[in-house]
Formats: sequence, C-alpha cells, structure tokens
Amino acid sequence: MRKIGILLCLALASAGSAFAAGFDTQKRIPAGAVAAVTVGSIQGDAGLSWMLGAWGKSKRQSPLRDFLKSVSPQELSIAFLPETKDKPMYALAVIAFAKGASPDKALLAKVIAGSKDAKIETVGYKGSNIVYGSGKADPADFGAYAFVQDLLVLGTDADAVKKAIDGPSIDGSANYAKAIGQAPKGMDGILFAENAQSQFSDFIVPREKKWNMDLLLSADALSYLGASFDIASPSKLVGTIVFQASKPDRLADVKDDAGFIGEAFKRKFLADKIQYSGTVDVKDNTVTLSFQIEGLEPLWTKLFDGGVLNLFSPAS
Amino acid sequence: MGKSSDSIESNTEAPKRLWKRIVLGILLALAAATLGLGVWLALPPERVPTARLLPSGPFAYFTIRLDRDDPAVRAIVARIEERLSSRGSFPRRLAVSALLPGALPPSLSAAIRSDPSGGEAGLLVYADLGRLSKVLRLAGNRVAESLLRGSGPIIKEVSNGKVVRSRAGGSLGFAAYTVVGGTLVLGTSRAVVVDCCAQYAGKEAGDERRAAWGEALEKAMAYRRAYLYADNRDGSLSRLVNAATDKYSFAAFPSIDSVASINASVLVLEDEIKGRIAFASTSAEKTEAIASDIRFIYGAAKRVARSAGLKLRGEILGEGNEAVFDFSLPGYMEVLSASEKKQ
Repeated sequence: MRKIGILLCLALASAGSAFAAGFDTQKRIPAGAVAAVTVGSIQGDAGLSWMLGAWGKSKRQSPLRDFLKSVSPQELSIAFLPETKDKPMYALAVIAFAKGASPDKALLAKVIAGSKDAKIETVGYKGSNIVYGSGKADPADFGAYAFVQDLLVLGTDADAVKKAIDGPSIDGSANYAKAIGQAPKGMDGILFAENAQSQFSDFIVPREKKWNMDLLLSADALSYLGASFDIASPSKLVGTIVFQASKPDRLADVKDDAGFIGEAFKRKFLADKIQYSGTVDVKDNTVTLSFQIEGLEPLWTKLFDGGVLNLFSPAS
Repeated sequence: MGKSSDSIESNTEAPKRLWKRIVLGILLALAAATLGLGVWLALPPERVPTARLLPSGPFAYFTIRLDRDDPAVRAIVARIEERLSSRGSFPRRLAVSALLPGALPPSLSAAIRSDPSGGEAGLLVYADLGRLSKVLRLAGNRVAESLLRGSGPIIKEVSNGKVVRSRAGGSLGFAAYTVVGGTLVLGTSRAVVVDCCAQYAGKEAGDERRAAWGEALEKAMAYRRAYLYADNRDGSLSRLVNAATDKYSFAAFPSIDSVASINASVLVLEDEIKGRIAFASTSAEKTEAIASDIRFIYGAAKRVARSAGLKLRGEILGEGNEAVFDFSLPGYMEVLSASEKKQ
C-alpha cells in the first residue's frame, strides 16, 4: 500500500507534460479502472528531479525505491482497479523507461516478493511472461510484473497484470478524452476517475461507510472526475479538479462537494503551515476547483520519510 | 395442687409476656423506622440550582429540559423503553416500564472546566433525580459499581460534607460521583467532583463570572429546551480546539481565537430538531473568518448526517460581531426507528 502511495505521489508530483511524453503508459490501464494517474517526461523536469532526489535520500528503505533508482523512468501511470473482498486495494502501475534501459530483474523480484520472501514463479500469458510471488501475504503491495512491449506492468497480483494485457484501455474512453481536453496546458500530471458505470462511486461507498461520512454528496451524480497538477517548484503546486456532473439537477451538490474538498485541503495544509488558496467555478455541467499550494517542500520530505499513508493518519 | 398449678402457669406466662413485649417493641421500632424512611423518601430533597454546582473555571455548559409532558420527550422515552425491554425477560420489561419514566430527570446538564495546570479538561454531568437521589444514597456502593468505570475498588470519602465515591483504573467514562440535594453529580475525575463540592460549600473563592453564568443559565433553563454556552474569553475553548488541531493535523476551526463565546439553543420536536448556534466575535472584522469555519463544519456535519440517513439543513449569517448558524434536522425520529428495526 505504501509503495503504491509513494508511486502515486511521485506521479502526481512529476514534471513535464504528461500528455506529450508519447510513451502511452495509459494505454495499458484497463478501461474499468476506478482512477488513473499519468505523468510523463519525468527525467526532464527540475521539480521532479528534486522529488526523486528527495525520495532517494529519504530514511525509509524499500525495494521499489531501490529499483526505481536503478532505472530512469520516463513516464508513469498508476491505476486503482475495482476492489474485491479479498483485494481491498487492487492497483496497477505502468512504467516506461529510456530506450536501451535494462531493468534489474533481481531488484524487481525483491519488489514483488515483499517482506515474506515469496517464491517467484512465471506464467506465460498472451505473449508476455508474468512473474509473480506466490504465497504472498500482503495483497496491497505489488505482487506481480510483466514486460509488455517495453513497458513494465506492475500489479497487485498476476490477474491485475492480465487485465493490463487484455485491454481495452482507458485511452479509448470518451470521458478520459474530455478530461484531458479540460486540463489546462502545460500540466505535469492528470488524474482521472471514471464514473460512467459508477466505478468511482462504488469505490468510495465502502470507504464512506467506514468513515461514517458521505464524503461526496454528488458521487452518484458525477460522470467523471479529472484532476491536473503542475509542480512549479519543490515548494509550489498548482492544479485543478474538474467535477463533471451527469445530472444537471444535482449541480448544487456537485458545487457543494467542490467547495467542501477545497476547504478540507485548506484546513489540512493549514495545520502543516502550508498556504492553500482555491476557487470554485461553475460552467454548464462542469464544476472546477482551481487551487494553488505553497510551502510544500517540508511536506514532501515528511512524506517520503514517513510514508504516504502517515500523512493522512490522525496521529501524524 | 391448685396452688402449685397456678404457680406453674404464672411461671410460664411471665416469659411469654416478655417475649410478646420484645416482639411488639421490635415491630413498633420497625414500623417507626419504615414510617421514618417512608417520610424521608417522600419528602422532596433540596433542589440545588445547577449553577451552584459549577466547578471552578468552567468554560462550557450544556443543559436540556426533559419535561415528561412534552410529546417529543414522551416519544423518546417510549423508544428507549421499547429498546430496553424488547429483548429482555418479563421481569426486566416490567422493571423498565415501571422505573424508566420515574427515573427520567426533569433536566440533564453538563459542564466542562479547564485544568488550570494545563492537564486534561474535566467533565461534570448533573442529573436532577429528585426523590430517586435518596435511593442512590441508600444503595451506596452497589450504585457506584455500575456508575463508575474502572477496575479499582470504590473509595468513599467525605468532602466538604458531601459523600464522594470514586474509582481508579478507568481511562474513559465517569470516575467519581456525589449527590447534592436531589442532584446526582458525575465527574470524569475525582478532582473535578471534589472541586464541585468545594464550590458548593463556598470554600473556594467564587469568581464573578461564574456567578453571572449561573444567573444566565437558570434563565435559559426556563424557556429553552436545550441550551449550550461556551465561554472563550480566557482561551479555554481555544486551547481545546488547538490541541485537537495538533493531534489530528487538521485545522477545522482556525478562527477559534476570535470567538468570544458560543450560545446554542436547540428545540427537540416530535419529528424535527431545530436550533441556532451564535458565535460572538471578538471584533466585527473577524466575523467572516468565523462564518467561513462554520460553513466548513456545517459541510462536514451535513455529510456525517447524510451517512446516517439524516438531512441536515442550515444557513449561516455573519453580521456585526456575531456569526449565526440556524439549522434543522427533519425526520430524525423516523431514521431512529429505521435504525432500531435494522438492529
């Protein structure tokens, strides 16, 4: 879980245009994914270089960090797949490397073996070899990988990797295309949450039950949710979150959600002495939360040292 | 022969008479004691205004009237009764229906005091039990066992003329109690209950603000069903909110230092709860920041309520030195019934 969180954070924080990178990692994200993040031109941006450096120097050791330090990822997509009872966190990461890079398979084996040192096995699937750790106890970490046309696909398990190989991909979704179109130019990363078949609301409902709180009043009235981010400097992040309403009569709820999320961000950052400012705009069925966050550098360091989840922990 | 038989008779009559007298004496004593106890139990205990039982340094006070003639209160009591007796045996059902209505205090209040040494805040709950308070006194440790949390033995002491029972070893819930007049006073620590006894006895230096509070609260009790007052002029409420901000790394109420006091009144109707929370600002220019925080808290409360199947409606108005939040919660009883049925 922590590995996925770190990757997600790096993805969100990456610099360079995600959409101009051309490695098409998003083409390996299944259309049924609940949410996906894509970032590109990872090596060519000062902001991300700082991020990668900070992560490399962080106190927390992990096989995933060792692996990513050994290669030079160029583009990265992370996705959450619809969860099942035995897989409460079902994730996929697709990584593109520079031409000629040869990822260290021994390090990759450590990533999927986890702390239990699972037995590594291989299975052939549609022309690719899926390597997976058998008998692995923690279903939240990456437990399998495969190289699919020069892209590394890491999944919670071999089935997740198979979904990436099978397609169809999120790239063919009309909502995904709309979300890309709505993102301001020059953004570093995009997050897309599909709700065409209630994937996103189905994903959020069990969490809301656990928190005893309906986080989004409009979860069932959204067509999709798209967010884009730009790391202007190690300290500054600007971005937008687009809430696309599917039911015009619920626009008031959608606007309420955008405002509430903005305020929640502000208050979370305020407690860490980070400045947040944001505005909510409504146009037709689209509600956009635009924001700017300054003073993030210590938070990134804390994040890499303590792990992503600790950032959101009540005790942090 | 006749004489000797008379003498034997008189010899056996004397102890009989003595026994009769003893038994009669005991019966008379018992009857007198029962009568005395009955009279004592029948006499209403002294009604102590809760304001006199406030601890030193109070900064928040809550009170709710539980008028048994009120339809909403009757409906709530009926639900509690139904719930308590639904799964019990016949004697339990009988006991619940016989005792519950009488056990309901006409008012329930709570006060929070800040620890002058910077420790944890103390909570006191007051229940005006009337004659039932006398039963509590008689039952002694048996009641203490069920009222007080913790694993330690019940310790009985007399503080300023009042019997205080406390128990160590518990981290949550009530740790001590006393009965003053007809009021049961439960506290989260022994210290806070002892402090309450000292304040009642007037041995501690009374502060002016506390006296003013008492007056205001008594008035509030007269016309409002539920009332809350929190005083932040000495920053007690700020300290509590800021500690929560640090603990949870989330600033839900960053403008708390600009809040001088909070007044809330809530009306519980049969099918709706409605109320008003007024935040007095330290200056007019701080009012908008307070209103913004209230808007966020309302947003969070609305989402929590919706998760429970309730629709919280509210309106926030910031003007002059006051930010006001008016709210209503319709259909709460229906949701309560549905949740009981589910269980």
